[in-house]
Amino acid sequence: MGMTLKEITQAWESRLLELYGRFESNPLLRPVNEAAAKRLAELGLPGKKHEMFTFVSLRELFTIQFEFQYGPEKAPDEGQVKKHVYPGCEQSYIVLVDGKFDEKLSNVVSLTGLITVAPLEKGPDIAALMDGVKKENDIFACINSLFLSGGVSVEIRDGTKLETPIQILHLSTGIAGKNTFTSPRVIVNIGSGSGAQVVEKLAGNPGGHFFNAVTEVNMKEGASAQWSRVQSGGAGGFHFSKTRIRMAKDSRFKGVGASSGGKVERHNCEVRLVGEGAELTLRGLAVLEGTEQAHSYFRAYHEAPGCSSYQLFRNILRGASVASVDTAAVVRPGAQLTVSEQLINNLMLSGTARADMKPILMIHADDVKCKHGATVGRVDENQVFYMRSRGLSDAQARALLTSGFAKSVINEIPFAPAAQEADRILLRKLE
Amino acid sequence: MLEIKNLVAGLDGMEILKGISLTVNKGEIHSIMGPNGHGKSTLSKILIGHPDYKVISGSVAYNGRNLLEMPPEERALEGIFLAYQYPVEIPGVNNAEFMRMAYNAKLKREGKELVDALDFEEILNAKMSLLGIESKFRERSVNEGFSGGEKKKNEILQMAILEPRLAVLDEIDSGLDIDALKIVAEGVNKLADGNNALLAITHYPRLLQYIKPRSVHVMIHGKIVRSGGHDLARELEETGYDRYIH
Repeated sequence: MGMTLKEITQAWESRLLELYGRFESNPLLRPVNEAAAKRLAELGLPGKKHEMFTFVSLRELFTIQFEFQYGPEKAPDEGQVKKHVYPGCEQSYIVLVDGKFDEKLSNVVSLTGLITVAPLEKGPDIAALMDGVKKENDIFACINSLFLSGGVSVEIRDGTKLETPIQILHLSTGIAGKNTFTSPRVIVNIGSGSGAQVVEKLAGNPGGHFFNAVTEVNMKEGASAQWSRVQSGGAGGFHFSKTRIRMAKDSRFKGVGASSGGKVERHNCEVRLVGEGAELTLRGLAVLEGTEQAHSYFRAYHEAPGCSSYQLFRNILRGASVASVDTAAVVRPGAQLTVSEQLINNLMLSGTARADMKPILMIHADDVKCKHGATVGRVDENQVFYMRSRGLSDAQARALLTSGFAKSVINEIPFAPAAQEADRILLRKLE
Repeated sequence: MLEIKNLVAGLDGMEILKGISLTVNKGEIHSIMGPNGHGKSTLSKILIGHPDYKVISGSVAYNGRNLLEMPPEERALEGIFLAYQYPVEIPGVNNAEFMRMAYNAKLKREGKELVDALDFEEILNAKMSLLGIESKFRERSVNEGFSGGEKKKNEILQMAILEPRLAVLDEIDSGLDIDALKIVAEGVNKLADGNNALLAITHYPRLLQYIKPRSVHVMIHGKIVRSGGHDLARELEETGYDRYIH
């Protein structure tokens, strides 16, 4: 007889603790690991009814015995890195190999004097890390802290408008014959009145790999950031990530992510708009097939008056793929004149795919403009017919409609080469 | 070119066309007139092959082929064009790109080399200036956010690009102001070069002041009750359709 989910979960937790028991800590980060162990004991692994995982099936992840990957079996060479560097970022890329910052493989020459890039343990953020762990409510972010042994801290000085985009490249190398997991951590502090364009790329990602990242972005007063993220390849891997963004007065953050799926992909984004007039824009697109899963869990906390948050998520589902979007705007008392819009659209290209949606508003102020909506639909047959009556084949018409649905998000990816890549990879998947 | 014989057809099990016969030859312009709800649009949908509309009996031959056996894209590639009464909005699909794909589908059928976006832009610009159509039509999504008149102009633009052999215009004049109507009629007249044929379906005789049909047919209760020359349109303007409805 097969094990119950509860038994599987318990076995996975025991295994995790056993791995932690023989974990070779980075001494400078050991306090963070220890705090995470404490927090993990409080949180426990989620069961079926956990609010954050209502739509996420963790069974497959929990049946795999992972090994923590301390580093690559064979260090990647420059050529392996450079092929993943976007045009325009040739002298402004930061490389993390299996979760750890690799100073030698990185190149930030064009940003000299404008930003500081340091290994996490040598950066200024240990106290903040400790604080973050104690408040952590996401079990996988907690596991990231439990095995935190490297990462990168990026500091963009006050009053610096970067003209060159910064690329953050995550390389996962894997170990032959083993299922490995990594704990990448990226912290980006954007100074007062500064502006930056960041593009994140995940590469490598062998099958059965569990990529479990945390990214923290601190936006000081008047800071602005445009963040692009393309997740491609690694269809057989687990990609989990949490992004925590803190936004001070008049800061602006626009993040657009495009994902071509994975065995299970889960993204948790927690944004605190703590200063008046902060503006958040998030866009996400996932193109899924087979039994791939992509789950988004988003929380925007409006803690100051006059802030805005705009969210649009689109999923295209084929085969027996599964997508979910659980998104909430929480308006704290006193956060008057909040503007919040959430929209989720799912395009179902098969009868066996599944999409779950939960857009929520929690409003504790009376003078706000908040709206949300969600749709699930198929390709519109009237549109298909209209195109066929102009000479397009049925397949051409459907492909054009589907890519049109995706393009509304892809076209918003701030960094053009990343948009082109998303266009190429995601649209190829639709062919 | 087009030969319709005793066509009986309908929608949702309801018989709408009750025995239509009509022959349209190369170089001819025909007009089908009649009040709303009497089968004019059903005929246009049957001609383009809309799957919701079913043929019960009768035949339609197009250049000697059985039209009813051809899928809609095949009809389009063989030169049939329907200018829709209610053109469909397609968000996310660029209008120029859509027209280029349709144009390339036609070129492919003719065994010609396909055009890239740059070459097509020239072709499109030429047609747009010919029809006096604003450049915003190029950038926008197909019909999305277009006014009623703009949608009709966009249909005519597509027609001008695709240069069909048989154009079926379904109420192309409805919702158009007089200036837009002139643009549309001009586009239609430029197309009519003796090699093509046109079937203009309309409720109002107004359009026929600009497009001069060789034959006018009155459709009532799914049947052609009277056919005549251009003067029939003028007569209908004075008398209306009441005398034909029993």
